Amino acid sequence: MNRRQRTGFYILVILVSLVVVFPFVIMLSYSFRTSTDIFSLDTGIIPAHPTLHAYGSALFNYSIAGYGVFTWGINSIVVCGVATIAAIYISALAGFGISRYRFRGRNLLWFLIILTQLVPWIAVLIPYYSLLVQLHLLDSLASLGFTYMTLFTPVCAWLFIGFFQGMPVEIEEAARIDGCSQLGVFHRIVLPLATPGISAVALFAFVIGWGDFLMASVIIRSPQNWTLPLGLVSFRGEHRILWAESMAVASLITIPIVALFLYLQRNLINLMTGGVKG
Amino acid sequence: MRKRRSRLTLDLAGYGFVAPVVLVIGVMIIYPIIRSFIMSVTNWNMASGAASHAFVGLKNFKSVFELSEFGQMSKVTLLYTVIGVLGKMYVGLAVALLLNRAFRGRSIVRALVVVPWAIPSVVVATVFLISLDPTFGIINGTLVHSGIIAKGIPFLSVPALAMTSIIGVAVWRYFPFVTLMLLAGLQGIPKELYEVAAIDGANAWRRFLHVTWPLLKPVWSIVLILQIVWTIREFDLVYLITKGGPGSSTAVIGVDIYLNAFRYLRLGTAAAESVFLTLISMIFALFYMRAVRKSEGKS
Amino acid sequence: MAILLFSAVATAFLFANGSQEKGKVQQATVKWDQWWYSDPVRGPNVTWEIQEFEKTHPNIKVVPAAISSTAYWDQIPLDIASGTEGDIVTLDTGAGMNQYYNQRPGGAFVDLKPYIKGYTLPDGTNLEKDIVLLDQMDRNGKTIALPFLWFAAPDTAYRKSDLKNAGIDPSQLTTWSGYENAAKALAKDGKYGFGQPDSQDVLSRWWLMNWLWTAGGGIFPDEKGPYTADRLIFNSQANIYALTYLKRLIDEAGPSGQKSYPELEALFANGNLATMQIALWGVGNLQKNMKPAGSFESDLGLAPFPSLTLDGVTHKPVYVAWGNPLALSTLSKNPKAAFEFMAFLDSKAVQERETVAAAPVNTLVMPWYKEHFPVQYTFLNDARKYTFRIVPDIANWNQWDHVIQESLNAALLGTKSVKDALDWGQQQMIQLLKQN
Repeated sequence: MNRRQRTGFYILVILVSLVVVFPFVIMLSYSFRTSTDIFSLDTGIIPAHPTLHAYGSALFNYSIAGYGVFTWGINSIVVCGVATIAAIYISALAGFGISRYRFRGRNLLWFLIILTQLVPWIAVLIPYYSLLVQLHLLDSLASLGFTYMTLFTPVCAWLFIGFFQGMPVEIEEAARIDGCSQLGVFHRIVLPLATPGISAVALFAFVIGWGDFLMASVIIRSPQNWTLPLGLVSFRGEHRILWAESMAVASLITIPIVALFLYLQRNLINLMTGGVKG
Repeated sequence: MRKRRSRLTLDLAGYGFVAPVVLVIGVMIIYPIIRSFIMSVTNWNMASGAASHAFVGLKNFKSVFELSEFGQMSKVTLLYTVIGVLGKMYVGLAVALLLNRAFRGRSIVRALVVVPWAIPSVVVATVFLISLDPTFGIINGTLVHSGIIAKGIPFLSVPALAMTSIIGVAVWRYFPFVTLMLLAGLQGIPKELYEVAAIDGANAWRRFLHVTWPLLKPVWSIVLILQIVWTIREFDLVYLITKGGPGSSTAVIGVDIYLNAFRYLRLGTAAAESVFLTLISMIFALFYMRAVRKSEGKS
Repeated sequence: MAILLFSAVATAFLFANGSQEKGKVQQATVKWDQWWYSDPVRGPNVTWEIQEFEKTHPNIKVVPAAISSTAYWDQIPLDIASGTEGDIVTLDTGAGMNQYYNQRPGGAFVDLKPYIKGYTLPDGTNLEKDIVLLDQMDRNGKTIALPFLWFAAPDTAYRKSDLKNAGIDPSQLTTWSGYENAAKALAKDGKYGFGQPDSQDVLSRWWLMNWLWTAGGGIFPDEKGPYTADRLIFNSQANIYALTYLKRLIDEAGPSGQKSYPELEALFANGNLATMQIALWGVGNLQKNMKPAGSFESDLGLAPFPSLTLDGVTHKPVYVAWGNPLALSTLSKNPKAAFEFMAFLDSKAVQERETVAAAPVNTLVMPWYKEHFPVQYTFLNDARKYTFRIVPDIANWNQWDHVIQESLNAALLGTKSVKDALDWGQQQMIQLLKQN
């Protein structure tokens, strides 16, 4: 590459980096203002009067029916966490089973897993809603947790199949020869070895639930059961719009996730490439 | 004798491992989907649940097609999907090609590229909602401030602009996935092939066409199909930014189903539309399996 | 079968979640559906009302639902259809009552006539005599709701100083042509001259219908039945005129992009908007937010909605008026307890408290209202001089609302010509009538 091509190349690289990060920066920038500033048309990228006021207000002064960001955060963590753990366990078992054993119906099951992974959530939501209404289980975090577990499982299983297919079998064989049971091999040998894969799949699933709006908005009603996405959307009401506070909450929702993604990105990428290619 | 017994044991073990997932998928996904198929051919309404359906045949489907909205909704969905997928694929490819070269800071840029994908859709929608605001948003604010335009551009209030905006947001959000997949594919192409082609006098474009593209195609096909399926069913981004508006100019099928079911309470219509969407997804699932098998065959 | 399995597993989950209080004292729990519990201005009223009520009714526990005002109007019909609404459902007569009442066969609300008969509150309010708008709560001979508060919209709010600086006499704002000239003159130096809510979420039945009605148009003549296709006037000349005027004014003197009410209120309060269309409850907001301090008292002017003179005929303004009555769900397990609370909400103490944002239905409170909220009282008196109207109370009003929204939005945005937008709306309405 000659000099001019090199400069052109680096310009492109910088452009891409800016585009990719731009909304994230906007989010942070707006979070360091007050809502009144925004309504007074302070729209530059650097806030005129930078302040942490929005964070304080969102975390400590904002509540709907007495429940605030802390409650919603805990709800989100618990629901997504429990659903993820359950889904991971079930789908790791399944992924391992499909990749290691050849049993009748294996290919059909694999196909079903792919199929259900591609099913649009909205198609499942309507019968779910009517079922939950009949069982009087609406507005319950347990129902939401169940729903998440159900919807995480096919994706996780799909990823695990790919992951386990890429894992060498020698150690397992050795353990089996040593007399270890099938399940024992799984728990004692495979799971520990699969930690990078598991952490990536877990992150993947957790984040799907963490950011879910569709299911939560239909299943959950009372503010005490809200998850963070529902809480975030509530900042934009009919009689007041708290942009700065909502950006503050958005930042709090996003930063841990982005950090985790960056930390685990190598595992994640390997997982996706392995899983996607079957 | 011994072989058959260990075969049976292996089979049983296999079944044991997959039993939980079969339970979950069967009871909690397949059963509701079948139920929704049934709902779409009855005059079921929310209050009666399973109790009183009367079979009405294809009446719901007919009314979906007859509604003047169906044409609109299909047009909108098609536009959003086609342009969105093309955008994601080609932007993804371009950035992947960029990242395929070694340069200083590459690992940092590659890490940054993950960011759009990592941010939850809810947050993406909220950020763009305020950024695009004609009066209070940063984009218009900057343009007006620097004198480029006089009055803010109503990005989300004019159908053409609203559609462009949501497609833009979707491309921004999902191209990293394409980039990372294609990058992995690109890095599997042996460098020697390029060197040979260069020696043969091929320029960059010909090298791409004759070396890169054929070897990238398997991954490309798989990613393309996945993007199509994921884009068609997009809900969160569209609903949270435009709610399907202005009017119904951005009401893609996912949003339309939601509005029909939960706002207009036209449940038969919603069920029929969701059957439609599910069938399309299933067809693409078959394409996906085929593409995967083909790529396995190749490697 | 699958339901059994599902519910078995779910029940296990639920036990982990903690069980309900069982076997406590005979307490009736009443759930109250409304949309302002989370509002910083009106929300505390709900808490206060419940506390006061429970002091004198220790066996009744009232639980307020916390549904946002934007989600409420879509959620309530869904809840009613699913049978999950609260014991007390606050309605909006502007949204029609039929679309809520008819979500369940046989009607979703209890006939309140036997409850109201002879009921007198401890403070002397006689429900049959001292509550206005009761007659509007009749459907098929049943009284399906109890009035609680009512509103009117809109008046024109303006900044006296802005008008003075532009040399405009406030009386100019009382005619369509005068208002247009004033708005254009006021829109300069980064300020806007005309604020009309027109965003996606803005409900046409509160903010846009009055323009159509004043011009002599609407959906049906005077919005009265029978609601048949041959009586539709949605694409009439009157509507075309009104929409064209409105679009012109917004384009020439209003802030760009579709604006919601709180956004306009913020612009007005900060001094960036000289006039805006305001509702009764908006006055209360301005009292808190208008800057600089003291400008609410000295700088806020209210002018009645403008009248239109067209072809020599003067059309007096038609105001939107609606009420927020309380309905009692047929699925309530404690109807008597629920009604006790509903009646309590019509007592003088509660009415005085709620009128920060609304007009009281209890006539015994009016003299107090005049003394304590003179600005709002003026607003109401302005409105009372003219006609009040609400949109047709059609069973599937939800869908009509959507058609009207879409049609008016398309016209105001310019994505369809005004005539095309209204023609489209008319066609859709004909289809909707066929659905019934």
